[in-house]
Amino acid sequence: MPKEPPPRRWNPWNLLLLVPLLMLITPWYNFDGPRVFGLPFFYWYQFLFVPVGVICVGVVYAKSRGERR
Amino acid sequence: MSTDQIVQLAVFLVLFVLVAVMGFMASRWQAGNTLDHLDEWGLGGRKFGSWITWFLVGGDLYTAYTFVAVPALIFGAGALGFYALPYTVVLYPIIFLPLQRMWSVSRMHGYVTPADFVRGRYGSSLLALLIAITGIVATMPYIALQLVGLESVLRTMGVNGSGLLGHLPLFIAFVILAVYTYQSGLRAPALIAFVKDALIYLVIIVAIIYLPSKLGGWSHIFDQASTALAKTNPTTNKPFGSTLLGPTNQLQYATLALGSALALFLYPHSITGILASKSRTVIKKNMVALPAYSLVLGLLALLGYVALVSGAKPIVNQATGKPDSNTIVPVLFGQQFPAWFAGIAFAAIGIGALVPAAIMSIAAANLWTRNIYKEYFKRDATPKQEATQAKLASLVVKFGAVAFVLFVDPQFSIDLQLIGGVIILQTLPSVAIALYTRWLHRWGLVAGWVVGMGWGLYLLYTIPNPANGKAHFGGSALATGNLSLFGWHPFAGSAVQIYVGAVALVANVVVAVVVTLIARQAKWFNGVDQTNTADYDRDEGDPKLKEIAVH
Repeated sequence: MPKEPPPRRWNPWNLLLLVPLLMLITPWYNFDGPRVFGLPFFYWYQFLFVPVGVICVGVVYAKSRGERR
Repeated sequence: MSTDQIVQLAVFLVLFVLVAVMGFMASRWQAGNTLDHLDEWGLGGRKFGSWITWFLVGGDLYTAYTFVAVPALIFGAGALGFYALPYTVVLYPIIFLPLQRMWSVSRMHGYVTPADFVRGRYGSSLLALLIAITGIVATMPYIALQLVGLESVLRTMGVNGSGLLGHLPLFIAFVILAVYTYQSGLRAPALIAFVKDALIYLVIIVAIIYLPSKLGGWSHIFDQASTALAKTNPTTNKPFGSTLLGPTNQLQYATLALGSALALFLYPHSITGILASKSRTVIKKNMVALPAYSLVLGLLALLGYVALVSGAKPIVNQATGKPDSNTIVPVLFGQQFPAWFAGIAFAAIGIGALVPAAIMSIAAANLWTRNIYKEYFKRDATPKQEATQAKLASLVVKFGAVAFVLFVDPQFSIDLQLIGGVIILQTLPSVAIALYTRWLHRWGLVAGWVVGMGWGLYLLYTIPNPANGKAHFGGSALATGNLSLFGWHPFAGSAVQIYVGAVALVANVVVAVVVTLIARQAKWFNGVDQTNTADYDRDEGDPKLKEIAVH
């Protein structure tokens, strides 16, 4: 019987997954100005977190491909 | 019916028929050897690649109801409704790692539902039954709400009859959906999702570029919306809302977003979409690509303000006699777009109801079959009997949802959906924490579930809604000042609001931990674990994986 491969190791890059959670701190962005394209800060700041989330998860994915299996 | 409405209805019907034909043909698409197995009927053969999964899960999570209800919430209350964006952004980083473990262990042991996993992990059919029932109860009103979404479009197109006859078009649409889901299983929504998403993206991009410029630009829209929301609501003597959060609802905003994100992948239909994918890589790629839908949802939410400024008025639902705020986006499209394009927009929302309704009914049917029928009624059921049972159950589930809309005030479905989010969250320790550790004792999990469920429901019951005069189940925002622990009010006098689900989940986990400590001291038996550590890391191509669609 083939030997079981060792369990996956914890990858420190996984900590990047915590960054998008900063979006939950509402006092940081609950303002009207400055507006961009007419959108209040409250809205465009949160829209910015869409790419932030994508980049964080994307980096963690890319770094996981180097794992042994 | 006006000429415009006839054009809209014609475009809608053409697209609806196209989708129905696709639904019936789907049974032959990438077909396996047999459809008489839950792996095939209920999970599409467990072989969907990245693209299909993206459309399927996207169609599954971002439903018609979401597309009409989120802008309706903004239309009525302002910034709080925008929680849908943080909700769907923090979602993916949170579930990125646990979902891969869920896929691996399910693929290894042939699990079809989250309750299957709990059954295997703890060897407890009682715990699995609690998880299965929670899943079914939380999913049913969700399906009913898809119907509410579909009906809001039909009513906007002038199909707004009164009484039972008024529901007839909806009934016909659902019979067609039920028949092709019965025949094709998960392949039907997977194929239709391509059409749904193509239409949704087209409509949103056009709407978000065209409408603001037509109505004076975003800056003007926000100024006008601010003024409109600041007016005093005569029933509550408070402003309707605000384009920013206030001092009392920021905690509610954050906990509602976080709680909803934690809850979403505990819903059985979300797990169904994930288990149908062929490898961990498919899941990882999708966690990176799915936020494209979040962007669309955020943009769509802003249409609530556009509707507010455009002077659109919700349509009075002839069946209930009340104005239905969920019609606000369809009304906006109907007023601002040429008839043929409005028809496409309505079809996008309508078909957007069919995809999740199909997946949800399949997920509920899988739960019934695997964790109730097979566990308690027919232990020796063959795969073929399981598949037959699930197909029948999917019909029952769908007609149950239709009956809901027919005989019960839609408001009741909305209340139940609110409750659904809170109760599905109570399965988190048994399903999600168990993916990592078996430290929590199975009796601790049962006790935590009972307390979280009971307290969550009680708290929801105590929340009134002064705006519509409801004394109970008026929302999910609990004033922390009213929070009572056996008569002790830790935050007495505070008006700061918090999401009920978060409170109930904390209680659930605390009780689970306490009972676990007792159980470990008393050395109670903790069931047999069918899984081992390596099972949670296995990927496509591993020789030990269970074969698909065999007994």
